[in-house]
Amino acid sequence: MEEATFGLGLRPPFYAQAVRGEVAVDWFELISENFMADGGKPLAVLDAVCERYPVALHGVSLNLGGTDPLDGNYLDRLDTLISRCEPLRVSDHLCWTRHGGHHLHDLLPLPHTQDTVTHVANRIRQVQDRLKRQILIENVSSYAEYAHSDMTEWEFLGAVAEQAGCLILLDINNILVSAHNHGFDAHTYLQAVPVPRVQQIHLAGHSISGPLLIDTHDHPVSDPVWALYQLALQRFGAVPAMIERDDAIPPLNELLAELDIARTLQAQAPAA
Amino acid sequence: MSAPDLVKLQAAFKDYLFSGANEAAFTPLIAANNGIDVSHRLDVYRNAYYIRLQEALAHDFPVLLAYMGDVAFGREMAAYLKACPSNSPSLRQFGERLPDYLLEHNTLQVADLARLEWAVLKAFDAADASVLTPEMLQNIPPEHWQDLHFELHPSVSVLDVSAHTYEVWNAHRQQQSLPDQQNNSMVPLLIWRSPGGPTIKTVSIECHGLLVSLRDRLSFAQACEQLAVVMPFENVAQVAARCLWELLRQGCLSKLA
Repeated sequence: MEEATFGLGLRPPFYAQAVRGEVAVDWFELISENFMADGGKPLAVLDAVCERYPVALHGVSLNLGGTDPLDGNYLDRLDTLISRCEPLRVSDHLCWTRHGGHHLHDLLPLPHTQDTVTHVANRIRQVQDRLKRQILIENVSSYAEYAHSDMTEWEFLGAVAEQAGCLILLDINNILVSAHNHGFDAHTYLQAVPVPRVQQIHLAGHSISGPLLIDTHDHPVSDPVWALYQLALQRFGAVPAMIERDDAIPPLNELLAELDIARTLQAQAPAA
Repeated sequence: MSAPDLVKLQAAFKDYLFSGANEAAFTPLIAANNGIDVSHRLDVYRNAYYIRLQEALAHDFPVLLAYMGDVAFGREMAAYLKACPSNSPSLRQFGERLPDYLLEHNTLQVADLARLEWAVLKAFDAADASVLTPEMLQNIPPEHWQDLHFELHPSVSVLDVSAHTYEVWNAHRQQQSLPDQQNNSMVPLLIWRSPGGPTIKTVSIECHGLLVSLRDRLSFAQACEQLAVVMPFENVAQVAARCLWELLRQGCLSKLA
């Protein structure tokens, strides 16, 4: 496994500092779709950042859990992007995002059943064959579960990863949000995730909407997420970790201060 | 109730997001766990869908938003979202059909403004391409000029919008109050990506004609013939040369064929 490294989700307010190499991070995570442009500033930023930092690619539209055919044009563009920036890791989400040719631009939940495991794992294998590399799948926050699900989310995640032979991007905030929304134990979830497959960790903030927690990425990482991250460090060891912030983005130094907390917790963690 | 297959389940979820008309049939498919109302759970997804896509349009069409106002913009964008759901994996493309939609459902001014903003977005991230320079044309023998085909840089758009639309655009860019007096004369515009970013410039009617001909892949000689329709023949060569020089100087031409 890679040494403990710490990254940040690259967002437009930080482009100028990132292209100058002025941000004290080990790597940046880039939203793949933001850099699938034909040219202009997006690709200029991409090239400049990739000259100065290692990057990871993180997609939101691969539609791994969908029933529309995998989008060949999207995969071609992703493959081109991978060739251009040679990322450390390529990831997307364990969810569906498109149906009947319509993109819904949300990370929609899947039923936790063996049939769905087989369906999604087959599609992940197709993607991995096309890209000639293992990808990471991220657990999503959810606000609804299906009545006919007959597996827990962690059983579902583990089974998909096992059957697809893929890796896991574990989002600690998403575990906490879904645990709150569905009334399961976040520690139980964490203890069930297969250790060797976890290759990256996301840390983020959430907001409260009545009885539900919402994965809004518009707040600092909360104390319960930090506490869960400490447990994750004990279980998974020095996995590359990063802060995601997509809304109400604060000055860069505030995010770097959050990243310092992650570094400190990692340094203090007992060996996995 | 038997478990729905994944195709039907996702179709029902999408229908719920789009209209909510199938709520009574869809909600029993959702687990009523943890004491939280199912409709409250599904509202999160439905609200997020509309908010996310409308925010994308507000981001990509800020002048249109300022011109229409929050309420009218929100209402029109909600209608657009119903009529033209996203067909691209990137939200960046979601507004592509908005100018045509507005042409059909709103005023020409509003549609023109959307067309102008979309052209600016295109200039922002259109494909990179090498740029022709005046020096590259110096060694072309005069007898070859009539067969030359000039290719516009991929970032170039050639528009013809109402003067009011252009005034609104300029006022917004300069953070001035938007004009409400309608000026319906037409203004030919050239939009492209200069080293400083997307750039808009008014051009003469003749230069606009030449640009349209080049965009339509006519040869330089054919473009000049088109110009001769709207101006004295003896002036065509001089006007065409002047327009071409400007286009070269601005980096709007990328290839010779």
